Amino acid sequence: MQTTITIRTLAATALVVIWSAGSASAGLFWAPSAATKTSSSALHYHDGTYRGPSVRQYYGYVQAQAHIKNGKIVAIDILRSPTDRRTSRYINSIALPRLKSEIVQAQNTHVSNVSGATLTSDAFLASTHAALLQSLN
Amino acid sequence: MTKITRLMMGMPISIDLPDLEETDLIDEVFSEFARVDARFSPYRDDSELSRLNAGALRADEISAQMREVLEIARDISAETGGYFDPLRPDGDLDPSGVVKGWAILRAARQIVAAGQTNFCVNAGGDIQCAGKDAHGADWRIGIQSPFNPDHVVKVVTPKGGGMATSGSYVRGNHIYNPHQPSEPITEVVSLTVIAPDVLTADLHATAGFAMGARGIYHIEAMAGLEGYAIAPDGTALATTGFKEFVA
Repeated sequence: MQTTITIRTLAATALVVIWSAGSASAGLFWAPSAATKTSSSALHYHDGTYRGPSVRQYYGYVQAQAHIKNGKIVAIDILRSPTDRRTSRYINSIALPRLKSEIVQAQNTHVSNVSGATLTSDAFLASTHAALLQSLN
Repeated sequence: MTKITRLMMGMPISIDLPDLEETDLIDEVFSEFARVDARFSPYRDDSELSRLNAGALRADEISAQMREVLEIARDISAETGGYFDPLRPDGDLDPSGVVKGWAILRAARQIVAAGQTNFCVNAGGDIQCAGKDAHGADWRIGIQSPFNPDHVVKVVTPKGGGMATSGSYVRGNHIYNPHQPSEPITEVVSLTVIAPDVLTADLHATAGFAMGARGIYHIEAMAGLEGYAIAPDGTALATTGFKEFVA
């Protein structure tokens, strides 16, 4: 299964693309609390489709692919993620119960631990980073 | 109180023992995590798992721990209709999805065996707590927002149970498929499961997440499991008994 996201998704997850025209380095940084900002200086991505490496992560593999058009990232495909192991089999169920739905809201409260899934996004960024580096060459 | 976090097995693992000042027990628990990693790591050529996949082990050379983990993987795969799949695309065995929760549960048992009743072990967001925190209160565990890792969207008290979350931030808010813009989104970006122990929670969070939008109904149908599923549009579905755990 392939999921396509736009660069707006990257902005939403506070992915900051930093490009220093004076140096040969380009990097992607995970900046969870920083305000989203994308450099307005020219990003010299070359048009085309660039596939990042399949990044091993303890619970599976993640691979991203970047599409560049007119020098801009127009889409990033997730070619592979640890959740793509689904089989075609469905569990038989009779009638689905009605479950309580709600809008999720950030809670401003103290907790001692947090349950979440963070690893996949790190591997995703690593693969995306590598794909974008190729487009800069 | 003592809380130590280390990066092991490719994830942060923290052990919180509010009643202890010395770190000996925490060191022992981390050492056990290191031994588990040495045995089950798919990234070490000398691990038992790698040797097993390389065909370098005879059936009678497989350790009791490996047998236990593989049996758990087989059972959960059968129980979830194949949604929990311990085989990699290349056909190799990869029971990593079992090892994480299994290792946390072992750590909890190790801590209990050492006489501690108040503790919290968190490995990569999968958690087994028991007793009370440093303030004598129930452990309060936040469910991380799949849209912003700095945000907590729910606070629960697992009351001695285990808790695990499967999800993917990159499938978070504002995702759409430009090739099929009108396709309704039926994905889930985060599924949290509370179970009697962290291994059970982890296994069903993994399998339930792979089921997509149906996963929360799988959790609802399982006795002893409660869950909270978050969709890409920022709405969530909770199982019937989940509210009993909300702090």
